[in-house]
Amino acid sequence: MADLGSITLLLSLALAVYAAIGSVVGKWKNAPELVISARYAAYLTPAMLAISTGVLVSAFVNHNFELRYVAGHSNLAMDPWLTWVAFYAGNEGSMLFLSLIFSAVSAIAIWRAPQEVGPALPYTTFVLMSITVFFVAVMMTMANPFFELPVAPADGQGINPLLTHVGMFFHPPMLMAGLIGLGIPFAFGMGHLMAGQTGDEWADTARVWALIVWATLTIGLLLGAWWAYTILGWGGYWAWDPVENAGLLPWLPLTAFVHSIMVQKRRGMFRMWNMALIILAWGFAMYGMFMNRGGPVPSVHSFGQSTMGWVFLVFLGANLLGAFALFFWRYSSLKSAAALESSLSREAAFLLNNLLFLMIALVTLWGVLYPLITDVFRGVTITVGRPYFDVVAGPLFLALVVLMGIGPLLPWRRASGQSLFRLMRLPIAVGLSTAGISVLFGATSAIPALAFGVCGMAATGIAREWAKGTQVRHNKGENYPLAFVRLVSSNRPRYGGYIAHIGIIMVAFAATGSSFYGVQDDFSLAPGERAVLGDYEMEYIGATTQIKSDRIEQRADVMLYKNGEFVKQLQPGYAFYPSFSMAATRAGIRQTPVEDLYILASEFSEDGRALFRLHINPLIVWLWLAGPVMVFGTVVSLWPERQKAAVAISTLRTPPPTA
Amino acid sequence: MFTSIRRYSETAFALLLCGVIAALAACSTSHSHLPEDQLRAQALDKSLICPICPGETIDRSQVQLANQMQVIVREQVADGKSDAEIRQFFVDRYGERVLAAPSKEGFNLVMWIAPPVGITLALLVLFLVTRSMLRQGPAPTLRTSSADSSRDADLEGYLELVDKELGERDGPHPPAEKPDTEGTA
Repeated sequence: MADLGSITLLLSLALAVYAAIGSVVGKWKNAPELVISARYAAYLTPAMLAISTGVLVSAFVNHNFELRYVAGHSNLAMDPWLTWVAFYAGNEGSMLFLSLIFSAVSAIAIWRAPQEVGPALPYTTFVLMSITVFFVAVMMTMANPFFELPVAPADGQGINPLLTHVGMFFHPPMLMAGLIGLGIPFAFGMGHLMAGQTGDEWADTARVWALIVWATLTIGLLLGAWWAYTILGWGGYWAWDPVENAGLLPWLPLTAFVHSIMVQKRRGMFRMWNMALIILAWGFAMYGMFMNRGGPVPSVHSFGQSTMGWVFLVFLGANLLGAFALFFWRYSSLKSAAALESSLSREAAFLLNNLLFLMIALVTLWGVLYPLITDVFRGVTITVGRPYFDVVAGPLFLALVVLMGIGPLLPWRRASGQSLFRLMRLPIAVGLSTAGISVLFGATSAIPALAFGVCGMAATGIAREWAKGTQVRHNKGENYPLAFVRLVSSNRPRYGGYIAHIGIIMVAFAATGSSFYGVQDDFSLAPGERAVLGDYEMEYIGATTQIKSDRIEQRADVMLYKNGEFVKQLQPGYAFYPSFSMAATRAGIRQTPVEDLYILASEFSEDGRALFRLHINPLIVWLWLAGPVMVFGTVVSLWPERQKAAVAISTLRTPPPTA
Repeated sequence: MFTSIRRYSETAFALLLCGVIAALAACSTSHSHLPEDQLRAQALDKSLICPICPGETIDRSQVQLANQMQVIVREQVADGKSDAEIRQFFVDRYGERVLAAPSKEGFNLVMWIAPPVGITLALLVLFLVTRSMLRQGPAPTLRTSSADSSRDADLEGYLELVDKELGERDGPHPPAEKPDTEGTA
């Protein structure tokens, strides 16, 4: 069986190489048959990789420990449903996953490519398939999942216990898909540069793919935060650690890109800028993948193997070098079709938005790289962590939310100061009252009050747009719900974007509450004793120990009271995995819209005493709710409008876009 | 008439939103406060890195050393030492990497100063680029006459849009995204 997996890997490599070379040579030699055959090779590549994947999965299910990878990442005791997680838990499997997902999405991108990207498609195919070739080749030479051990061990080593969590079913695949998926809009950009199609032909397709990747990456990041919150047991969800930053870095220019590509789509502007942004985003995505593969920082995310890290670094360098060489080669033809008419217009707001996202990315990168600088120049090892990022990136994020409140209300081309004032009057009033109320009721410092106020302002700006539009349609004779639905579907990119903005406001709101008003305290309790934090009182009933095949679970039974009334029974505790000498916490959480009460229990002693850490984490639930909201927004702005736009654009593009 | 209806629904919306957001914000901030010393110790925990588990603050880390460091922090806070003194105590033992972020002095000032300088420069560049882009553009056409446009100019934008949509759905122009323009020409 394992041979079949190896053979299909080899076939997929051959097909990918053929597709990459065939499409370009076919284009040069003007041989359409060659281009078409290359396209079919591109379609077959993911099919071959899917067979390899099937072989690996069946090896897991059948406990075929002859395969080193299966022996290293599963054992007989493992739940079969964890096979999915074990599949990408290690270097080899995750490389296979990346190759499969990328080649599959590439095939869809080639297959569904609309007419206007046709002339550049062979080059786009070349870029897409070259990336596939790289991943498959590196996997086969340095991390072959079908490597067979000379003697099959009786049992495998088992799966990393930190991964046995629901979040792990989705966080790694979503994040990996999001990172490598950035290669799709990148490939469209590069393909068009190679073909000399330096207009707006690529804008629509790149926007669609960028949005899909954006939603995937966003959800991946949020799921990672959720996993950290429930299993790492420190009461937080984002620590600004190097690997988290590696996930955030591509998200920032990508978010800038999904905004500024709209300007190109609508107004034919920012052509150069969009190319630069997508190159940058792909660069950061590759950096993220490099960090996962023997990057310089050891962490839960790292798959070891320092040699592979270097290969990724070289690939990153080659990509950036090639992309920017192309960019400068076509530089002169990437001029905007329209000019900026006013610094008080939506275009200008997009420009500022882009700048802010880029600034956040750069100050984050600076924080990540600075320890290397001191290491080289002073020979001193230092850490750059949360205090730096909070102080430096925090205000920039806040500025973005402010801009989010203003930008969408601005008209294209130009606005007058007066009209801006009229549009902003109500949002600003709501923002000020929100800030005022939170100060009255206990906000102790100016920054969180300001942040709450900004959230209020931005939310009002959006709500007002909806209310206004719905009212107008209602006055035209539609009932309110119908008017609202029709309003949203009348301009999906716009209103879908608003929904995603609501999600971002929720994230900002939750981040403000939880980082400024979290409270925590530690208690050492014997059974029957109580602990008090804020309005909460917790009674420790006793501990139970369960010995399972792979772990020892200790849990405390806890009764939770709020203002003297019983609210919930919780079982915080942890599981110890002897074979990994690793403990995974299971926090006890009581969630309300206002705050989480989060309990950790550890160090259970013989006499039943245990250590408890209680956190009150305000507004956390809004962070988790933001995920579905943002995905919904992306779906609204993408899905149905897509076909309509594709047709509309192709008919519109014959005359040059209106300047 | 439309004006009054619009005002009404808008204000209702705004009040509702303001109420929800402010209520949540207010509730989340109203917590009983812990003793000053304890808050200081917790803040210090978050600013010190556990030397044997890279990247994790002693507040997060669950290893023995981190717990011992927390005990030392509390002892020193009780002794009345300043935050700087306590941090220095750990720096002397474990080196600079024990700090979650470098202190704002000496060589490390570079790290703290670079971002604000960079941001200022970037804003300056943006300003210059915008100005040059504005100059390249066509000479300012008719200024938007917001003075004589009625208060419902933005409403008219919507009416126009709705008319267009209720009539021919796909006009020769891209679906006009000008609900809030006030007669662009």
